[in-house]
Amino acid sequence: MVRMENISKRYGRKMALDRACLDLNEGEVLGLVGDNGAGKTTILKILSGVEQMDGGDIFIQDEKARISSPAVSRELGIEMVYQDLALCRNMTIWENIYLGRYLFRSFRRWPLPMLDKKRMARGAAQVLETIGIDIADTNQPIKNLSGGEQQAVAISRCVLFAPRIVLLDEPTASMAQWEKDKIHDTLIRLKSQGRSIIVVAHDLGEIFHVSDRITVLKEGTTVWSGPVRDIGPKDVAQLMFVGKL
Amino acid sequence: MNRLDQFQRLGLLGFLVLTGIFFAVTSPYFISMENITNIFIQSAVLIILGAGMTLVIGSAGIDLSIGAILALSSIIVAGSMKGGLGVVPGIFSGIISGFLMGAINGVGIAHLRISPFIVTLGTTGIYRALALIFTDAMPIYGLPYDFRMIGAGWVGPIPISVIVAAVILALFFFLIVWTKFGANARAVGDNAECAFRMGIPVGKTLVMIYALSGASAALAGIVMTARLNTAEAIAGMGIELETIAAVIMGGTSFFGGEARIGGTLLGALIIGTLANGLTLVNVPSYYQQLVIGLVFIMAVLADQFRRRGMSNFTF
Repeated sequence: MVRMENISKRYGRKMALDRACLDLNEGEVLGLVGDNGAGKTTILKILSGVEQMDGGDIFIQDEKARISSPAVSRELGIEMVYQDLALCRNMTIWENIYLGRYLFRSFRRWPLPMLDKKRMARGAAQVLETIGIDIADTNQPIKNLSGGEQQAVAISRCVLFAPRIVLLDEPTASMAQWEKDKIHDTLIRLKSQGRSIIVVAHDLGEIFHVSDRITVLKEGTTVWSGPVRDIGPKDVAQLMFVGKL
Repeated sequence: MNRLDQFQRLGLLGFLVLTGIFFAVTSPYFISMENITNIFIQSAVLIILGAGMTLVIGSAGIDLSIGAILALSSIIVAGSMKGGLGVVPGIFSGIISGFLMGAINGVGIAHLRISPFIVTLGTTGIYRALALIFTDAMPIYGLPYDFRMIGAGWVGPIPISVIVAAVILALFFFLIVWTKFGANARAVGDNAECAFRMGIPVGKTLVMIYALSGASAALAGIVMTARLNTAEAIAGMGIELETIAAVIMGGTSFFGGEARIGGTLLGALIIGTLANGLTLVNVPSYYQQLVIGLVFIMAVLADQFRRRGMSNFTF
């Protein structure tokens, strides 16, 4: 589904990614792990079009892709849940979920398309319900929600538009256990629908719980990649910090 | 709108009513149909400027150049009409030039990544200087009758300038609340990085925001020029302070993400009422500036308190 070959990215003097490689197959969950600064988020940001790589190639369904902006990434069917959630605090829940992809209504004698607020509010409530998060009023601003609820909104935004590829950067970081369970159920459902998912998380237990395969990064380089059954949490930890087994 | 916002809106309305009662008691001329209409006529320019500024401040920006754009586009309109261009093409030339001047601000902010304060401070000097150069610092007067009707004409009991202000206010309300552009503008003001990640064209949106602010400044200049029958390069000096005060007082936050057109109308009417009432009770104009300056600071403090709570006031 996605193949990233020899991806390099430099921030000033720091080499964030140094010929990193990654493969994501159709309908699988790939756990992407590494120590702080290993380059996990940078890889996701390159795929989501927020950052541009300095070198390397990206193939999506065997076709070379140039992801020059977030809009291009979305057109390719890639959605990302950012670690900082990327939400507008003063805007409502439904405005955040439909941000940049609004629904419109038109009238016979009115030439300009107007935002269809009711339909977007209804759609937002429905998608929140499908991931099992109960927020009664989608007209309230994001700043009124708890950390877990905000995370649910960010995930709902990602799920709503039925992406082919889902990128999750610490998707359950500020969630209670019951909320984490619901998000894990959502991941399993997305996977069963044939979506391909990359998950970045610090919690190795969570990674082993949800992933089919794991890729380990160390200082911007891929040091190991393979099925979950071929490796244990201790070995992954050793790869993350030492770089070899 | 949450309860705090409703409380603020009611508070504004209450303040406007109290100001009216105060001047009604202190001046026998204040409560009359003629004077109240006069307040609306005097506030029309501020309301038009405020509509554009609401969009700008809602996007977490500032536009200090509106006074200079007002002056330069008035000169262009008056000069065009004097040059034989006709009233309607003259008006359009002014609005288009205001739009372009605003767009230049937007390009500086969005693409050269200079702060809105610095860009618009710089262009204030440039636009004002151009207005002085074009006119040799001499006023242009004796404008066509049809043009003057924008500032002095009436449709039934309503002055045309007030109708123009109401239409502009309604247009900006529609734009901000009901269109894709308005939602994008609020998103850019709330969290520009988030807006970018969601595929919103942040640069284009910013350029359009400042262009529309420039166009509204030009329109305000047209109304002012038509009312005074004079275009001059020093018109609108310092009007940006009153405009920003009206917008902030109206509940649009300096921190961006919210744009309250209805609040801006109330803010502009409060400033218009203060200016009118203080004149009626014979307070010299420099004291009026002092009062407006104080009201401005109070509005900013109230905004900070509303956004950040009391913690903002401790060091």
